[in-house]
This record gives sequence, C-alpha cells and structure tokens, in this order.
Amino acid sequence: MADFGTSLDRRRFLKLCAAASAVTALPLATRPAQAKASAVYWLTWENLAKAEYLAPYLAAGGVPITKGFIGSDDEQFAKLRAGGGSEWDLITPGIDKAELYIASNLLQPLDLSKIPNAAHLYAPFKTSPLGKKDGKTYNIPFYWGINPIVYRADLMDKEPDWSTLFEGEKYKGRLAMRDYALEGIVISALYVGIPRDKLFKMGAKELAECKKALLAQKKLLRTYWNSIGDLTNLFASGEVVCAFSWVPPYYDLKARGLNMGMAKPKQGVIGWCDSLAIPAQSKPEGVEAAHALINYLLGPEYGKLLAVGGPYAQSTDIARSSLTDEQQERIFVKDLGVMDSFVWKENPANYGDWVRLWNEVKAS
Amino acid sequence: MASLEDTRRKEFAVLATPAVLFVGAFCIAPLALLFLYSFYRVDFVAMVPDLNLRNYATVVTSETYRTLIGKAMLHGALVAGFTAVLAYPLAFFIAMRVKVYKAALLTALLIPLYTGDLVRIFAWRVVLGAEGILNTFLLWIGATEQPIMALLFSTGASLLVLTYNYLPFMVLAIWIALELLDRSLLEAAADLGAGRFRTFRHVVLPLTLPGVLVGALMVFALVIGDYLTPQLIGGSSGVTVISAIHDLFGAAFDWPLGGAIAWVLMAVLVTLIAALATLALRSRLGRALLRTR
Amino acid sequence: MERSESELSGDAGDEGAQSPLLVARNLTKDYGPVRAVRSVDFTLRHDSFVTILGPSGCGKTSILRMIGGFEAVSGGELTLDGVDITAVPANRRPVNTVFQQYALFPHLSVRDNVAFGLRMKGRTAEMAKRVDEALAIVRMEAMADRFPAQLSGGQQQRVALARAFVNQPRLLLLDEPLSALDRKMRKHMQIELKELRQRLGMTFFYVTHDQDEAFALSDWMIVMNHGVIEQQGAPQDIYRRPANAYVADFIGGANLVPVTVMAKRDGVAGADTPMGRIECPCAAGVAAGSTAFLCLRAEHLVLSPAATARAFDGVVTHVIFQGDSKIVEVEGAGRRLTLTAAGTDGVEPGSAVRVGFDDAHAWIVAG
Repeated sequence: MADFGTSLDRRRFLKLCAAASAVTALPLATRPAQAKASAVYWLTWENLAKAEYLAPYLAAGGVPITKGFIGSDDEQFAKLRAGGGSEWDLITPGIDKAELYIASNLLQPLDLSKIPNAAHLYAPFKTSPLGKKDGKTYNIPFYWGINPIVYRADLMDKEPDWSTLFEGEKYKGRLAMRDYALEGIVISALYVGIPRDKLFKMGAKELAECKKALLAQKKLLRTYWNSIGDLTNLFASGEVVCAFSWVPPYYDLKARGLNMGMAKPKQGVIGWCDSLAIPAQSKPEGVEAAHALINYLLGPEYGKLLAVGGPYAQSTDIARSSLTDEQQERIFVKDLGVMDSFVWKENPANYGDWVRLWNEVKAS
Repeated sequence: MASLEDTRRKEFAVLATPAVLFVGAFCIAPLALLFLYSFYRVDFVAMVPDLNLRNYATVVTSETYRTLIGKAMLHGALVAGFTAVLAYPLAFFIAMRVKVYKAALLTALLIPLYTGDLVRIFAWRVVLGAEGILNTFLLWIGATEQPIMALLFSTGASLLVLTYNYLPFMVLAIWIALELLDRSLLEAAADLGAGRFRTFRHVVLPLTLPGVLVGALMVFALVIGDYLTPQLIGGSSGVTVISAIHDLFGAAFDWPLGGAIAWVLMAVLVTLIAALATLALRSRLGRALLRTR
Repeated sequence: MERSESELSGDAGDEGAQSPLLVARNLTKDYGPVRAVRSVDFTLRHDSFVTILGPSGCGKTSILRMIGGFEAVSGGELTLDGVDITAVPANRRPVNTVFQQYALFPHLSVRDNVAFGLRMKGRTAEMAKRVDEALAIVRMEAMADRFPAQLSGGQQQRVALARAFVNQPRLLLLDEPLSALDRKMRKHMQIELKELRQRLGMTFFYVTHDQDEAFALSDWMIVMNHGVIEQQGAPQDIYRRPANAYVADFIGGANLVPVTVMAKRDGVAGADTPMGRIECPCAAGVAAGSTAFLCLRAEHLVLSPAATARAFDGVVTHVIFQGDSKIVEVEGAGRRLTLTAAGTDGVEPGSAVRVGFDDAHAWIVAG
C-alpha cells in the first residue's frame, strides 16, 4: 500500500547481506524434515500484523510468527527475485502482480484442503483467474478495498467524478493524482471510455488516447502524490481539494473535523486486493505452518478485528454477519452488488510501455 | 630482511585492502552488473541476455529521457551557481570575521542537515503553501489578492528548496578554502596598495576558486541525485531522471532500460566533470594553483 | 663611521638640514592586557639601513607591523616625512614590506607578483619597464614567467624584494627576511641586501634576532627587550659602549665582572675590581656607590699578558677549537670568563693561566 520506499535500497541491501550469509550457512543448517516449525516467517504490511489481530491465533497454539515488513509491492518482488524466498514462509503480494511471481517460479501451489476458510471467499474472488495457473492456486485473496476519489466537501460544490480530475478547470491547480502509472493510466482509460474488458489490454492506439488525456490533466494538477500521509497533509492544508486517493485520508480528516467527501465514480472504481502466497523455497514445516496461518487470516476472528481496526475487508464473508451495518458500510460490504462495478487491478502485459508513457507525461 | 620499501608496500596493502574491497564489492560490482544488464532485453519477468544496443537507442532517441537528463544537468548547474553566490559571503564572514563563535556558527549551519530531508521539505511546504506563511503574509499586506500558487509545487520552488538543502555543503567547501588561505597574502596585497575590494578580486577569489569548484561539483552531483525534493516540492513537473529510473527498476521491472539510462546519465556526468576538470587544470590559474603546496 | 657620544642618548642625529624620514613618538602596542611595545621613541634617517634587534617577543615585529599598517597603533604616533600616518591604512602608506615567509601570490607568475603593486596603483604605462628593471636588479629576469612554487627559497626571497622595492617606497620594511634560508645563502643574501640598498638609496627597516646579521647590515641599530628600546646607535658604538648589562650581554656576549663604583665624573668611573682599582669610561646609568659591571670583550682578554698589563690568575675549564683560533673558558676574578686566543698550544682544561687586558678596552655598565 504505502508505496513510499525511501529506505528501500538500504533494506534491500541488508536483506541481500542476510541472504548471502544464509546461503553460506545452508549445508550446516538443514532442518529435520516434517518437524513442527518453531516459527512461521511472514513478510507483510505492518498494519496487517498488529499484535492484537494475531492474539487469538497465538492463544489457540499457533506457531509463533516472525514478521517482516514491506515498503512497496515492487520491493517485495525484488526481494524474492534476489533470492530472498528461502527466508519467508508467507508473503503478501498484490493479486494483480500474482502472475509475475508465478511466472518467475517464486511460488508454490497452495493446498486448499488445509485452508477450509477459503470456501467462504466472496464470489468475485472465487471466480477470478488471478493467482491461478494450470488449475493450481498460488495466490489466495487476503483483503481488499477500493481507491476512491476523496475531496474536501467544504470546498467543492458537487460530488466529483473522474471527469473532474480531467476537466475541472474550476479547481485548476488544486487537484492531485497518485504518482503511479497503473492507476493513473487506468483512470484516464475510464475517463476516455475504454471498455472495461480492455482496460488492461490496451494497445498503442488506446494508450495514445490516454496519454492525450493525461497531458491535458497535468496542467490542472497541483502535484502527483507519493505517500498517503503526504496527500492527507495536502488535503488538510487546502493545497489539494480533490484527488484520486486511498480511503484513509477520508476517515483521518473527518476525525479531525474536516468536512470530507468520498466519491465512487459510476464509470468504475479501482479495486485492489492483496493476496497470500507461499514462496517456492519454503521448507515443508514452514509450508505447513503457513497454511494454518492463512486459514486464520481468512477466518472470523481476524476478519472482525481487521474490519474494526483497519478498516479493511478480508476476502471471505465469514466475519460479515458479526459486523454492524455501519462497520459493513465502512468496508464496502453492506451492499455486495457494488463489488461488480469495481475494476480489479491487473498487471498489463505491456506494463513497460505504460511506465514509459507515464514518465513521458510527467516529463512533458 | 625486508627492506623499508617492502614494509611500506605491505603496510599500504593492509591499509588499502578494506577500502578497495568495499568499493569493489558495493560500488564497482553493482555498477558493472548494471552495465551488463543494460544490454539485456526484458521478456515479461525474465531478463534475456540477448545482448544489443536497443536500450541505448531508446534512451538517445526518446525525447523524454533526453529532456530529463538535460533537466538534471541544468538544475544541478543552476543550484550549484545559486549556492555558490549565497555561500560565498557567508563562508567569508565565518572564516574572516568570526573568531569566538566560529565552531558554534558552523554547527548551526549544519543543524538543518541533521533534521532529515523530509522534515525540511515539509517545513518549506508550511512556508510556501497556498495557505502558507508567505502567502498569508502577502495577502495580509495586500501585495496580492489571490494566494500565489507557484510559490509551491513549481520548478522554482524545487530549485529554492534544493538550494537551501545543499547550501551547507557549499559553505563548508568555501569556508575550508578560505581558512586555508594564507593571511599574510592579504597583508601583502594591502601592503602593495590593494584596497579591500581589489584584494578580494585579485587574491582571495582566485585562490579560493578551487573551493568553489569542489563545492559546485558536490552540489551538482547531490542535486542530480535528489529525486525526493523535486517530487514533493516540484509539483506535477517534479519528475527527475532518477525517479524515472526508479520507476523502471521498480514498477516496470525494466532493469535493462533503467540501467541504460543510468549509464548514459553517468557518462554525461563524468564527461562533463572531466571536461571541467581538464579545463580548470589546463588554465594558467589551474596550473599555478596545482603547483602550490 | 664613528659617532659622537651624544648620539647614544637616542636621537638618530639628523644629517644637516634633511628632516628625518620617520619619527615614532611614544609608540605603544597592546594585545589585550599585554603591552608588547612600551612607549618607544625613535627616528629613521633617509638613505640608511636600520636594524631592529632583540630576542623573540621583544616587540620588534610589532613595531614593523605598526609601521606597515598591519597592526593598529595603541598609543603614540608615527610620522612619515612629516605626515602623520598613525591612522592611514596599509594600502595607502608609501611603505612596502618583505614578509618573513615572502607571502608571494601563488597564483601569479613572478612577473605578475612584481607588477602587483604598480597595477594596484594604476601605473600600467611604466609597469613593464619597471618590472623588468626590478627583476634585472635581483637577477630574476630569466624566471619571470615561473610561479612561486617553482622557485627556491633564495629566488623567492629575491622576488619578494623586487615586488616591494619596485614601488619605490620611502621605506622598505623587512621582517626577518633571511630566517628561512640556510646559513650560506643567508651570508650571500646579506651582501646582496646591503648592495641593493645602496643602489636604491632608500631606507631599509630590518627586523632580526640575529646580531651577526644586524652588525653585517646596519648603519643604525635599535636593540629591544621586553617592549622597550635598550639602546640605539651605530653598531660599533653599541658594541664598544653598551648602555647596560643587558645590551652588553646580548650583543657579543661580553664578560661582565661585578665591581663597586667608587666615584664617577664626566663619564669616567673609578671602581674597585678583583684586579685592583680601575678608572675607565662608563655608561649613563652608572652611579657612585653602586654595584656595576666591568664589561670585557672576549677578544680583549689575552693569555700570558705583558707584565705592565692588568692581569689576574685563572684556571682553564673548557677549550673549544675553532680552526684558526680557540675559545677558552677560564675561571678567575670570581667569574667564568670567555676569551678568544690564537696559537695557544698547551692550553687545556686544568691549566693555570694568567689573563690580562688593557685598561683602554675597559667599560663599565650599570647592573
């Protein structure tokens, strides 16, 4: 989520050093097969692994968890590519990136029989092809949300939609987009009217159309934001009145007394989903423990804790009935029909072209 | 029996080895690898060692990357120039006029460096923002009717904050040059009839130019490497060649193209610095200064 | 050049109608609470070589720096050619300086270093010619395009000289300019300096702590100690008739034998000495009834003197061989005395000797 990897290089370097020493020590440290793992190593976002979320799991005798935190999805991918796979039993990639992990042979298939809670996945996740290959499941959806438009309701006269971010001359110099090629371009595609099923399969012609819209949009923007904390500040100081955002600023600034609005444009809302997956090099006892942890993370205790604390929705409906209407509303599961209007992020095959286009727009 | 020469050589080997190993392992090796990758091709998630110059062709023919590299050089040079002009009087004051509080002043100068760049950047936002201190003041005195939006999230704002960020490096470089300046030369100049201004113009400035040059090279390189400040202060035009490389390495997983841009940038930088250094050393002044102590 | 007694009192003695070049009156320098120069008076004549001599920390450099304008005057005044220059900044004084470490501009060639002063004064028309002349005088024409770092110490010294005198100052200040050179080079440069000064006809004000150098160069000497002038005069006079025990000891290391002054009249004192009663000229501060010192130069003491001479017995304690002569240290007259002697075979430590001197060389100074 927080894609703001300033300390990325240092972390990667330290991990590489650790990996290097681990490789040298490997022949000596072969673990006896099928013994119960002393710890399960989970690489994840810090806000998903709060101690109170995991307390019921540990109380029930779950294998202790050693956590590692990621700064960005790219960092996680790079870490595994650089040989960090043997360090972790469980990782947390965005499901739109799943095919990259699978194609790079970084993951091992999941044994769904050991994850009974998987039966309760919401329908769109059950049927989604993402994270699956040759009939095997490698990534199981974990939790999800939407990236809406957030705006200062006190400073705008009507609810914005995507066109506001492209034509809102009235708000010129007070709009913002995230500095992220995938979402930025998809939004422009939604705005110019590319059909839903072609959003992630655009060719040169469609991309050129998007570029034109994005170049025009750039003149209206105050900035491209990089961290959600930064965007929250920009809203608070009034530098930005309306932006393609994540959900947190809406609640954070409301709590601080600002009249915030959150818009889910009818052209389509970008939905995201992070998955759980087991690295190919994870040892059998670690795999065993990881399956147990996955099952807990898709279960009712964790689901309720995440819904109340996050607030985020897990990928199963198992905890939904234990939530109040208001709690359900906050995590977008009150009316399950809206899920159908979400544009679930995918990884375009020509993503390199997307990034180049994005840089061209920014450098123009 | 080992001669003194042998002992010296061994001693040198022992002392130099850690540095050589460190630079070799953590600087040269990754760069070499990056250089190799820059001739690869990306196929989805695999880097194919199908060696060719396609990536370099992309960099050279792409207006985007050319512009970004040019912009990096321009901004580096501008900020180096701004800091030099601002730093010289300050360094002069500290070196020549301050006696008792010299250490305190230099420390004060360095304090902003300890606060971390994000803190400094956000402090500037508070000053320059649409509802920031400066705009509020300008509105209050009636100098403007609308807040001046370009104070923040513009190229100018980015250059301002970069200048502020790297000023201490320039001050330190010039200060050291001024401290090393033989004071008897100033007396000699006065003795020979030069007033303050001409002493500065004919003696102090030429003899401290190497300090300015060192500072300029430092600031130049630091500005080119700083993508955070333009990103957070420069607004929608805050993209830098470094952040473009970052995007290619991270999001796009196009290490070969990223590597090619990085190497072109490095080549341009090295050529520029080498040309500057050659020019400086070939000049009469450079030759004269090089021969002094 | 002999000078009359009256000149010893401190006045530099104007020659004829010519007014003095520089007059220092009550000149004082304080560094915080430390008084480095204590209200000194002196006068410099035109066309003379003046050295100011004293141990380090005596205030001699402070005086030079006040004349050069590099240090503010704390008290008193300086007059150059009748003009009060006390408050004139260095760059407006018709004075030039040769600095101890030369202070050549490292970024300028020899030619540009020498031309610097003329260029600052805007005398560009005559510049090239005068720089060439100056370089020719110090025999550095061939090095004109070199940079200071390419020159030897002696060459840098010459450039520093040329850079100063090319401006034709009324007064050239030299701050221990030879101290960085080796002994041989120093001797050589002393001769060059003396000739140069005569050729240029300007006044040199030369600071040194080396008395040999001062004797070799100067026609007027100022001896300083602890911020005051102990004595000034022609070198021979100072050597022969030191004003006090300090000068006698500092200049040429005279043997000082304590005596009791019995009477004094017209500059002649009668004193009781271990060698009997003596009557000889004495310095100004000597008073009847006080203890003073008989001042005997090493070269005036002789071994095995003629029977008529004044003499005393002693025992040799040290002998230092010096080529054509020897330095002999003798214990006698209640003191250790040093004398120089030639051809004294058989004199060795422990020898009993008789030491004598001629009354004509005797001089009494106050304690």
